[in-house]
Amino acid sequence: MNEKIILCLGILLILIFGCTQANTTNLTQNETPRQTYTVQYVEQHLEELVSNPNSEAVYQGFTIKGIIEDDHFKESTIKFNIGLSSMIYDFQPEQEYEFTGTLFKNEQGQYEFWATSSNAPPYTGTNESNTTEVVKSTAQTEGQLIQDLVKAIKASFELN
Amino acid sequence: MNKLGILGIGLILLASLVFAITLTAEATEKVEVPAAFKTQVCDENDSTNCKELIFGVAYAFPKGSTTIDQASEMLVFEMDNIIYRTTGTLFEYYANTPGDSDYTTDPATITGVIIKGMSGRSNLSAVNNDGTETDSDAEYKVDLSYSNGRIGNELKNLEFKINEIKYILSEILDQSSFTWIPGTGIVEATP
Repeated sequence: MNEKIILCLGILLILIFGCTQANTTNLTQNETPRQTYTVQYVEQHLEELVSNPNSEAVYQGFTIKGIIEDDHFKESTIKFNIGLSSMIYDFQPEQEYEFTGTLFKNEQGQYEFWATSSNAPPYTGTNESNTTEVVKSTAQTEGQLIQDLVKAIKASFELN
Repeated sequence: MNKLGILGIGLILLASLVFAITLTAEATEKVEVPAAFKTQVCDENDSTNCKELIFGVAYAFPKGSTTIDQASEMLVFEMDNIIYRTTGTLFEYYANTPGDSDYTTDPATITGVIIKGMSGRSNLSAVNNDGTETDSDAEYKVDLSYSNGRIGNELKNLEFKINEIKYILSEILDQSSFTWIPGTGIVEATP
């Protein structure tokens, strides 16, 4: 009798353990991993805007308006990387963002979009963008600050 | 010592303190660099004797300042891993072309394309590795594009004299224009 009870308890434990593992696995698979999206979406959209003169786009000072509804963008970082202009923002779904700037075609035939936004989320720059954070200064004297300034000048050559 | 004297000394000490902290990282809002260049300069008497010279124009904005009038203007140079920087008021002039002997100190009197020139001797100090500074006998002369009250990013002329050798601009290897925020370390290129 005792052996049967122990066997049943053993099977029960195995079943409980198995279910727990299965749930954990499902949770992991269902979680949307945090990704960085290179926004070909925007590049395509710009192509459309440029090719359609009746759209909101003009070559100077145009506005892009759109609601990001795609669940892919939920809690994700969207990377704008159009030509020389790289910006990283944390966008929220179902929120309308507005960018105003200048669009032009560079010598390589790529579209470059320089813009500002009145309501985009805070900028979260990284070394991938046109902002770098390599020259943090804690200078306590003018001389030390000048030394760091020269480092900043050298770093800036990489950005231009 | 009377009260007025004590007050005067106090004010001088305060002014010294304010000046001293203006150019620390914590007390600096930002540094705008409208023009910076990596150049090759060559001995004017020996074109095979060439060196790399880094040069930049910088405006250091103290915390709370909003206009360029409140910023400290300075030039920085680096040659042979030694940094030089201008101290005090710069001698500035404006002309239509580099080397124009008919220069003026008032840009409003010039019509057409203006260059802004800066030159000086005995006001360049060498910045040592530990951040201290020593006087230098280096001399410089710089001519840059200038419009709408701002320095542009076109280098017209550059001379740098050190140890009795005058180096003149041979080639611009790289250039930039940017804003630097010392406390956060952000360097942002000017489009």
